[in-house]
Amino acid sequence: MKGSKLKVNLILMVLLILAIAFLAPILIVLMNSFKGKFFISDTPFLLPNSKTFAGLSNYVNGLIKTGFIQAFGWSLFITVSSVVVIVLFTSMTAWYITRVKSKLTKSIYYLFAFSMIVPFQMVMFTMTKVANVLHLDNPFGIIIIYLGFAAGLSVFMFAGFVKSIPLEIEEAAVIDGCSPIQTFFMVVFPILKPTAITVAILNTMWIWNDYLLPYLLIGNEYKTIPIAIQYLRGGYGSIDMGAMMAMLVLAIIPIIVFYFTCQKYIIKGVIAGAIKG
Amino acid sequence: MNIQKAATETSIVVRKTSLLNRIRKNKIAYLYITPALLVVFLISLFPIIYGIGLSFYNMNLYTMGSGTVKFVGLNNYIKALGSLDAEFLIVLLRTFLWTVINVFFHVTLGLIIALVLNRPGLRFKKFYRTIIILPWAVPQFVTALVWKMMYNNQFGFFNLFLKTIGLPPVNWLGNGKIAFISVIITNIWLGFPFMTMVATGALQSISREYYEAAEMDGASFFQKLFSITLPLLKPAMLPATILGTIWTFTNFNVIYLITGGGPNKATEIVSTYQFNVLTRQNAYSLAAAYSVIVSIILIIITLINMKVTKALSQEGVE
Repeated sequence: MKGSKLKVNLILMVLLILAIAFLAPILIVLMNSFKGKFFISDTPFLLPNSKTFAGLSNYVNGLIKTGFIQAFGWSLFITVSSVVVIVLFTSMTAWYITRVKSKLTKSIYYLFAFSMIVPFQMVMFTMTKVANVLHLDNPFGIIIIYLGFAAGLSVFMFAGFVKSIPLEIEEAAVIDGCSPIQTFFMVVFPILKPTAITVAILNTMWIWNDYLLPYLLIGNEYKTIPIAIQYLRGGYGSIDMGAMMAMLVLAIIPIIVFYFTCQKYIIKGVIAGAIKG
Repeated sequence: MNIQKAATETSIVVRKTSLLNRIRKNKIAYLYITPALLVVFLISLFPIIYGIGLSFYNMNLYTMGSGTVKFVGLNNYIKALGSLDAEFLIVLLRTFLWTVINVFFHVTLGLIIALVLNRPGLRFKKFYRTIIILPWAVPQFVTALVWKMMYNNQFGFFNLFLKTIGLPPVNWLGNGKIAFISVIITNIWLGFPFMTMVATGALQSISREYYEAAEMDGASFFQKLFSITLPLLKPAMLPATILGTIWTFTNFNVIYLITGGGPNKATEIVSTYQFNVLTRQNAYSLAAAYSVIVSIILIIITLINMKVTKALSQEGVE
């Protein structure tokens, strides 16, 4: 019995160390965001003291230099609109192709599944060209592009769920005189809600943190948060580390808050995504 | 008898109306699939076909400027894979190495941590689970940046630590081989929480009764592990592992943001290599050929995945 208690304590200690290792990056960023910019590279792992403490000057500095508030606006706009569009259109598509069985819908299903496994790099260059030709290289067009990239996994997840809904419910709705559109929005969509939440969360995390796509398409004119922060690096390694750390803190906060509020669904969603993917 | 008849009749009526409606529905419902389908077509399918076509030409910034873009057959593919010392082939082999090492540690560490966290009676379970999954929520460009700081030669955490315990500093990112190990360490740290999450989910669905029965028969810890836990985790872990393999194979952020593929291309894997060929050399056709090769590899991995998963579900394990 004593031995097992020692073991439990040992495990607890290892876990505690691990927990610290996992929190470290966030803590380091937070700590350094309050230091003068010349002290960060000298003593990056010490708490700020009276000499190195810089108050909120990094935050003020960074907000001015990066146009962070504007970037925040664009990030929020792109993420929210993309997620709404993705959830709406992919759920409708999934419902249609699972309910209407034909060769066409089957091949559409495989098309979505295929688009899921194609690596981004494969289409990076040609997709950028297509986007330029179609004038999708603006914050509104990028929503359409996110729909294209998210459609595969989202349709796949919705389709898996639609299959488990008994057909009788929809038939009853049709008998009661619902049009297909009413049937979908008043009967089917409410049932799909759990999957919709999962799909929305997975896509939110991805789009909010995405760097490459906005960089390739809209980076010069409309900066999202990851791009605005990257711009602080400037040319030839002249980085304002202080401002950068402060902006990183501001960039992490929304996603951490989001993460803690939706944690239950995120874990469920990731597991579901993994198993179905 | 009557009731039964009535029931069959209504069910026939229902069938009929629903069938009619479904035909009617078809017309309107085309609107349902059009947006997503159209976009997938434009964003994925068309660029793929375009890319495959491009890979047979010699398009780059120079040939485009001088108007000498022409069909070159398999030249790009020969350049990529034709000789044993082709740069792409070396990068491809390194990517396999990168993937195997990473996925091995992701799965093993992920499993061990999940098993530890699943111990009955462990305190602060929820706290640990939350913390461990946190790196997954933090944007990768943030983590990559912090790790880059920690690897810094003079002021980085690791070298300061080595100094404190009296060891010579290590040039974490300056030497090709060590830099490769460094980025692998970062990616292991970044990747195993996902496996922990999947394993934890699967562990919770294993009934306690199996273990109780095994304990009655006097099974040891390892016997329980190998004959109950691991086999029952397989249906969840296998697809996750293959998904992880694809993610690791195509990972871009970690290497690009920490080493940029350097020093001297020593940490380049296919995704970063291809990006650099595209953005620095502007060799569009060559990059397209690389993409085609990588995609074929990934499609093969996915097909194996589907086969294995199907085989598992036919075994009746779920």
